[in-house]
Amino acid sequence: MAERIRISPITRLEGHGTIDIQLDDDGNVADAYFQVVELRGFEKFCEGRPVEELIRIMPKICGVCPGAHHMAAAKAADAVYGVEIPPAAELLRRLFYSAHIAHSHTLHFFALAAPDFVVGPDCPPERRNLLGLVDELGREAVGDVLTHRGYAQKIQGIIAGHPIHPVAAVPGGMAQPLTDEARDSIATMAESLTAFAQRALALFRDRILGNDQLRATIDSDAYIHRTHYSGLVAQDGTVDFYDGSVRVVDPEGAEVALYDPAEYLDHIAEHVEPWSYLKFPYLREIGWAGLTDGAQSGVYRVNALARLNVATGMSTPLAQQAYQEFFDFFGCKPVHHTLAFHWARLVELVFACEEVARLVADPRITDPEVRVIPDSKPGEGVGVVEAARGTLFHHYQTNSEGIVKKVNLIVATVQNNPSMCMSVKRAAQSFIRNGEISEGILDRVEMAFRAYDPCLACASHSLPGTMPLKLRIQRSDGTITTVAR
Amino acid sequence: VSRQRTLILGVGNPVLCDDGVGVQVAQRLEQQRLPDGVIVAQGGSCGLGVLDLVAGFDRLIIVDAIDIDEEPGAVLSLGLDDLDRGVPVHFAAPHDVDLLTALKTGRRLEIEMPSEVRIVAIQVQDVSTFSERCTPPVANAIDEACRVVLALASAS
Repeated sequence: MAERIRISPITRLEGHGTIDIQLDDDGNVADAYFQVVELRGFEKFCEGRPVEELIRIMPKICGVCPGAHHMAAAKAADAVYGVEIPPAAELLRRLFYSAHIAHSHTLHFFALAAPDFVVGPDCPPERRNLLGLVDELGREAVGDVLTHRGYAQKIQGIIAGHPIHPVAAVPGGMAQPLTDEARDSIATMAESLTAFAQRALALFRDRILGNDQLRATIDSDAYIHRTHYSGLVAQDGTVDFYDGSVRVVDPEGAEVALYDPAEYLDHIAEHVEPWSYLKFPYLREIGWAGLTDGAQSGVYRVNALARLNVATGMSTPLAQQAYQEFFDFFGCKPVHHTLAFHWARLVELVFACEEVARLVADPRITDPEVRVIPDSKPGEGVGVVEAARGTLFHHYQTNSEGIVKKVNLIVATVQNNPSMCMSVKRAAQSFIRNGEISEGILDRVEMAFRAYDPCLACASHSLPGTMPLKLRIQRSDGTITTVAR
Repeated sequence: VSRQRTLILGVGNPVLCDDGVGVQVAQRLEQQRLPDGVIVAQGGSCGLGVLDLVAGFDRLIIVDAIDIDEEPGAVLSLGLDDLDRGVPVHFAAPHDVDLLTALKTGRRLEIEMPSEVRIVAIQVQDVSTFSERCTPPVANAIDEACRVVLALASAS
């Protein structure tokens, strides 16, 4: 009997999308699709505005990563005007952006990821959340999370003028310098953040890696894909969230490309499927071979695991130690374990917090010279950063007055779309057998999706959260069952 | 004697048509003379960030868009117990916990929380087109929503 099950994980959704799973006559998974709702009018909304306005508007398209869009838009606008920003402006942007990454990774790990592991997929959904973590870890530990999430948010607010809708970056730099008082306040929080990040990593080590069953889950074939990886690296090859070259490696770790982000169109192509509004980016060098992994498939992954896989290391001491431990544990590079995204995120949390501390201690951070007024004719520019969930490309074309004629964005979640489809299908095939579907099984399928920390907001150009993620299972005769929670 | 303090929090996406009506209500209220002890704030959605905002307030009034079977522009005054009628658009925050989990977590952690939470929700018409303006029926409801919010904020 055919059946379709719809699940609305209202407590931990990541945007509005649907996972459709179709079962064959025996109740095993025939196919799985991941789809999102399309929103209208984005290009028209941007076109005709002065390019500097996009720096203010772009962060609003996404309630999840406004900081990433603010930075990418500012860098694209710098490029449109061909302007080099002063050193203090870059330090300030990096400081803001490191705090943004620290905030995002903290929230994702503790609010969305940790409940699957620490509370467990077989627990009822009403317990499998932050409140369940209070039961498992205690009030003090969760209070520690809230305090430091708050610090990371506050640092962003101090620098960017507004914690949710940042306004500080302008073409040519930043609108205002950092005061001594603000610097001192950030320095105090930075020290505490670095210690917190170490505690988060220790929690992963003790509660997740230290649990045989959870280690087996991470190692399970249900959660492994041998793909290419892509991400920004600094000149020395280390992870860099704010700037650098895009490095691509194959499933064996060999370099496929190392390119200037402005040349992204030479390296990224987009495949279209009739059943999805989201496109399917792939590596132009390799080509599209369908939703499949391996060296012959141009499918690549971005986000924390990809960044660690393409880099040679981390530029701060504690993060480098954590990076080494990560690869020693798996004994291979690249690491292809989808659930290792979570661990990689915590390695990056350590890096982001150390970066906040390093940058705020730089004597140039309070230098009043934070902007170069652009005086050249505007034209075209690409701005790229590593958003928390992967490489984010903003590409603007303007007329000679700086009025936007064309906008192209390639966001992280779209780049991970092919892999997310593959991961959801593999997890569904591994866990759904003979038509038997339990709450725990469905959560295990969602875990494959959640590891990517997808933001359907950016992907569909909307603020996320307007509709829950749905999961539908359709049996071979067309019968549909709806489950909501 | 401490005066009762009320936080009015308007949430939504200011560039996604009716989705941002809560923010527009907050902006309208910011231009008005408010009763003593009443503060207005704007936010994107109702995740853990709400806990940073509500500490020290006795009452929280959230203004948000809602999409249920009402006429576009209908203004509803709800309590947390009324959410079986429909959940406002930004109560389930993506990449974050939802409002109820945030509030419950705050209580479990003994953070000083408002004892009263009210919701003013406005039925939307379009939340899938990029625009800094609401549709006419929703834009026309902003004044009424402000009146409802102020009546709640003025109640003792």
